[in-house]
Formats: sequence, structure tokens, C-alpha cells
Amino acid sequence: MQRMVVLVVIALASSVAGFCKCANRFVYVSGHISGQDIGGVVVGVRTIPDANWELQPEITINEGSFKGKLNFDTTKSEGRIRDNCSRNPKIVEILLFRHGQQVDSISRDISKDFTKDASGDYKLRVPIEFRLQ
Amino acid sequence: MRHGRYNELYATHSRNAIFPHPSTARVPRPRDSCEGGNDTANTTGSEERFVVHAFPFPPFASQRTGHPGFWFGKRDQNRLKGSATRLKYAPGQQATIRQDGLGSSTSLSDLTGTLVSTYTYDSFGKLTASTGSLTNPFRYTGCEFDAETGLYFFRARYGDPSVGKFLSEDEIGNDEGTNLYPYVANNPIRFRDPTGFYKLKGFPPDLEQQMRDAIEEAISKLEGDGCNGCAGPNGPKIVDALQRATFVYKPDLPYCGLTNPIYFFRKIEVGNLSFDTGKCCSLASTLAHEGDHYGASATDKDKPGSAYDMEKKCFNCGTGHPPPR
Repeated sequence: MQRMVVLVVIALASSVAGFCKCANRFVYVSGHISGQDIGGVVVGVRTIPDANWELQPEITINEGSFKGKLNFDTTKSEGRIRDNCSRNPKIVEILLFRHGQQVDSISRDISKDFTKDASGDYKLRVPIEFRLQ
Repeated sequence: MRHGRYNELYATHSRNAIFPHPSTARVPRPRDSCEGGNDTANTTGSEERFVVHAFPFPPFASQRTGHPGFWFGKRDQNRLKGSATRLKYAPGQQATIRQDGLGSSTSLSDLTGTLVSTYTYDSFGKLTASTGSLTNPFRYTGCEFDAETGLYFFRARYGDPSVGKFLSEDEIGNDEGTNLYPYVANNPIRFRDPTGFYKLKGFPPDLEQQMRDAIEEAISKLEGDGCNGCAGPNGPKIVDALQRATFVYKPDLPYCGLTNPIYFFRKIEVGNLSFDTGKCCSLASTLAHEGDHYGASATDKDKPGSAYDMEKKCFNCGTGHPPPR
């Protein structure tokens, strides 16, 4: 009986415990910036629930158009015996900065405005349009 | 010798001793001696007794996770390469076993530090030279040598060092190839097999070679400077975990890698996604990451010393990750 109890405990522990390394999931954004003066403008992207935004140096603005991708970390820790990769982005916010000052921003809802491809990456359905004054 | 239903050797001809089979817990008192560390043999006169782990079902329970969160994880500290193990060979008398990088006993010294026995092996554990007369059952890779049969006890299987093979089939499965008897894929310089299970399971031939290369790469990077390497003191532990793990191919695994630190067979799972460097960084980094959960196992990715931190330092991974939350 005692052995059976221990076996059951072991079986349960084996089934729930596990540590995974999560694959990179990318959020692809694209858009266009129009206006009289777009010089010195840089694009920043952040995903919510992540707390911090980060500038995307690889996002280059070419004649007002930009494309970029943001790495979203899906790791969700569940304590010391288990973690999984179930964390998902909810909101993607694209921000424009000039000389360190935010000049514009647009938010997009992951569930409505993005498609998820087979590899788990999110791609914007419709490019974003910024109009700077 | 007698073989059981699963082709396991369960008795030798001379003393009819019963040895454990991994699929049953009914076999009494299997001897746990295959991991060096603080496994201690007490030999007094004709009585030979072995310390058996307190956990009810060896050999499974004696597999150390090294995970600080588990109650039997602390023992892993004793498995560091080159660690010294005390051997009690007579009442009140002890010898210290010195081990090489694979955990093989290379010498015994008494309490004054004087060498009393030395051992030299070939690649597959056959004793090529020895000095001294002290009885020491812990030999090649820290496994117990059965002098009566000339075999090594690898828990799930017995191995014959004279031919460099196991005596019975791999218990884990038969889909990794046609040959189920080789020891550590015939690469004993790099690997050891304290559990008796095959290293790679289920990999197609092209991916199997990539796996072997990745394991080699990970071990090379992490063992480079010992405790002063990129992974710090965790490096040797991760290397040890990689040398002992069984790698299982699950094509549709949705993760880069998966490990279960309390799974009995020390299984590390990888899938097709694991080979995608854009998604998972390098395969070597993924294997080291999973090995870290067995070997050192700080799981919180925000902490220095975590598996993610190790990947960043040793494999230049994760530079695209968002800032810590």
C-alpha cells in the first residue's frame, strides 16, 4: 500500500513537472509615416503585457515606410517544478520618437489586428499609417 | 548468467544474486554504486554491503537531479568531476578514491594521502594496469565492477569492457537504430552511461548526427575552463548532465527543448523546432539549457546563473529578448 502511494505520487509529479525552453515568437509590424518633416524620427515597439518598451534599431525608415519585428518571450514560469510557453502578447504599441520625445503612437490588438502563422509568429493584417503634423 | 523477460541479466552463475530490472519495483535491494559521489561500499570480512538510497525504488530514485528544489538534489554536489569519495575498506580505515573527468577511479589514497592503489583503463573500461591490492568495486566511470563476471554494472544493463558493449538490449526502445548493444554510441571518451540507457532515441539519421555534433559542441564550450568558464561553477554540472542524459526525438514538440528533472530516465526531449536556429538559437545552446535543469537548475530566467543567463554568456543567445519583467 505504501509503495502504491509513493508510486502514485511519483507518477503525478512526473506528469506535472517539466522545464521547457520556449521558441522565439516574433511580432512583425509594418507601416508608413507621412508628414512634412519625418527626419530624426525613430520607431519604438512594445508589447503588453511586457512592462518596458524598447527601441528597435533594426527598424529602418525608408522613404517613410518601415518594417520590423519584435521578439516576444512566451515563457511562463509556474514555480520550481514547471514552466510552459503559454504567455501571449495582447497589445502591440508602435511609438514614434524624435529627439527622445514621443511624438505619436498607435496600438493594435493582437487578437483582432494580427494573424498568427504556423510557426507562432504574429503578422499585422494592415500596415499602420502615421501622419505627423 | 540468467536473463529475464526483457533480456535483462538478473543473476550471475556464481552466486545467483538478483539484480534490479527498471520496469519492476519488486526486486529487492538493488545496489546503487554507479555514480561515484557518496556511494560508499562497506567491506568487512566476507560480508559485502552496499548503501542503498533511502528512496523506495532504486535505481530510479538514485538518479540525482541536482535541482535544489528537490530533496534528493543536494547529493549532486558530490558528483563534481574529480571529487573524492571515501571508501571504507576495513573498520576504522578509509581510502579516498580519486576520479578522472569521466568519474573513473584512478587511484586510492589512505588517510595520510599515500597512494595505495592505481588504475588505468582503456577507452571502454577494460583495466589495463593496476597497482595495490585494496578491494575497490568502483571503477570505470564510477560504476561497480563485478570481479566474478568481469562486467560493469550500469543499473539497467551490464556491460562487458572486453568487447565494449552491453550484454542486453537497450530498455528504452529500439527505434534509434538496429544495434541496441553499443556503449555510449561507441564514444566513451566523451560520454558515460551510468543508467545503461541509450543516448539518442528516435532521431532520423541526419538529425542524429546534428545531435551528436551539438552535444559535443555544448560540452566543449562548457567544460572549457572548468568552473572558470562561461557558465561558472554550473559548467561542470551541465556537462555531467549532458553526458548522462538520454535525448529523445519528438518531432512535433512545441518547445525548443523539454526536460523533466524528476523523470526517471533523465530524458531531454527535442523536436523539429529545436533545429530552427531562428527560433531556438543553436541546438547546442538548447541542449545546454536543458542540461542546466538537471545539472544546476536555476529556472528563473531573470536571475544570474539561470539557464537563460548561461545561454546568453556561452552561446550568445537571447540578445533579442525583451528586458526583464
